[in-house]
Amino acid sequence: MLNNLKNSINRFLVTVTVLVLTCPAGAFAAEQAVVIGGDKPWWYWPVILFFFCFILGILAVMAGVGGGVLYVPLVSGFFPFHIDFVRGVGLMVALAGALAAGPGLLRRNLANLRLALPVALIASAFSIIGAMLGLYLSALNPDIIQVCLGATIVGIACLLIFSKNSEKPVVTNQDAISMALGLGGVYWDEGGRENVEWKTHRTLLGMFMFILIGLVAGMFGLGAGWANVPVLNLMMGAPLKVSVATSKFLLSITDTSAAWIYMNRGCVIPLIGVPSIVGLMLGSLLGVRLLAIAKPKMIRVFVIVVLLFAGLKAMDKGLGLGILG
Amino acid sequence: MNKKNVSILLVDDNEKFLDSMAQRAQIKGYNVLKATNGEQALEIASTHTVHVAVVDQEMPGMEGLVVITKLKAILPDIKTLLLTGHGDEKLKRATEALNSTYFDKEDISGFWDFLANLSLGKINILLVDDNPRFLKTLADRITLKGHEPLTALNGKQALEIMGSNRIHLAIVDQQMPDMEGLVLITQLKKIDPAIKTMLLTGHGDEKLKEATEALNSSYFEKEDMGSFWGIFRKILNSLETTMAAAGMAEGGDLEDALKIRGSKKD
Repeated sequence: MLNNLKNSINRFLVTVTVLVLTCPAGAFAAEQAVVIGGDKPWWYWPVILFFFCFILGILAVMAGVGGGVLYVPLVSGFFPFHIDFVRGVGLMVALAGALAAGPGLLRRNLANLRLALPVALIASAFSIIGAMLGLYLSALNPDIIQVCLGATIVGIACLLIFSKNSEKPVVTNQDAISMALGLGGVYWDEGGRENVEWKTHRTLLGMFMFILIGLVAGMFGLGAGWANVPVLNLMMGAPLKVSVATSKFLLSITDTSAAWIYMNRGCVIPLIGVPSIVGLMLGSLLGVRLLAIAKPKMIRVFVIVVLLFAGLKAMDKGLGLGILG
Repeated sequence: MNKKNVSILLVDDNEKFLDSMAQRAQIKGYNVLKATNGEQALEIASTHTVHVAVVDQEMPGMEGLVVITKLKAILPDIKTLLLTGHGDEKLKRATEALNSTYFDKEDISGFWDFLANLSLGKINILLVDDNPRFLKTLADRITLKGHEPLTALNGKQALEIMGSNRIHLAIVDQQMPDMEGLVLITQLKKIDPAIKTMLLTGHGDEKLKEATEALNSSYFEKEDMGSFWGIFRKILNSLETTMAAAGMAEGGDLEDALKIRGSKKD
């Protein structure tokens, strides 16, 4: 017991030492990254970013919008970072949230592995292509990505306003692919006190949509929950809770592939990444606590408006119109 | 002790009943010896090792209670059970005075459970917790220590088990849906005042501690059990739950997010 404790303390000390020793390396990277920021000290933007992401984390949970979706347009709009860095970290942010939620969702039998794996494979493969395409376009001219990102964000905002998820979609005929892959299941509905059986339909079309989702997720570094849920829920007919949980879980596969591309190109900078991820995680922890007290509906409207504004601003920035400042 | 090493002596003048009991006991893995009357039983006891004797009360020649008394004289450690179809309160008291157990022939549903859990040099432990995972972990640990614990998921089950088994120690969770741990301990102590009890809780306070001590029971906080790592694991579990809830909320399913959060409090 005592030896165990000693070993643990030793391990902890080694980790801390390594972290402290590698800190100057991080600082160097930051100096280079934040050079656009002007004469501010190296810690200025990371600190601001931390608090910004903390608020973002709270809002993401309360508004029912993924953290990654909010992160990329807002940070690229309001911070002086190159769009590639923001997209790279955006993927890490979405990935962190998905990886943290994944085990709990699987353990509670909410996320469905059978449903997640085939679509995750497709989305994952195409997110690599998306990431490469995104970096290629951004190398040609970052404005192309800005405009496309802006248009996508405006589209997402509209999707969030108009799409009405269905809690238990009715699926009368399970198609052949769905049957072959065993895409279905049973869950216990506490409210109705009954076992709810579900299966999917329009599976081929749904899988095709995941090609697009993968491309967009990789290209813009957005978590793809906003697209996963409507496709799984409204198109393929999986119940809302299964769709949401599976979507979150499959992000951890999709975004990993794309994140590698960004990491390989040096687009994930720890001094942007760490405050963002820690801020968003802490924010979402607080957000969950606030959920029971606050009225999320107003916050959702507010966040969607902000998202819409950020999308328009990104388009404005990319087109160089300068209407929105 | 392994069941195969447990020798049961069945004594009954009704051969049909004797055979059927012997068969069932053999199926359950016991080593069975049969006797159709008292003398035969005493003869077997003096030449064989017998751990448990199941004796019918009404037999020609020698009454069941007399057989039990004589068996105990030959083998002081023997556990004895009296079976009868004609029981009355006096007989019951007489059986208990002989430190023997009493079963009505018409109602032997609890008999096999009783036999399985008869204390043969081991302590019978009853674990009661509504969290199946925690219950299993605790039961596994106790099994590793060489005991065979009985488990119950709620107070009702625990009382049922207590009714048909001799329990030495009950380890009870405080927060259960059907019955509070302290209430269960009070009821268990009513059934068997000699029972040792322990209250486990993750939500303890000083008042609860005092109440537990007033019941002459021990009190443990669940987190104390694994000391530092217990707390560490608890934080991790709580983080996992909160992040799963956050994941559901971000996907737009606020209802399930709140449910997941709510389940953490239980």
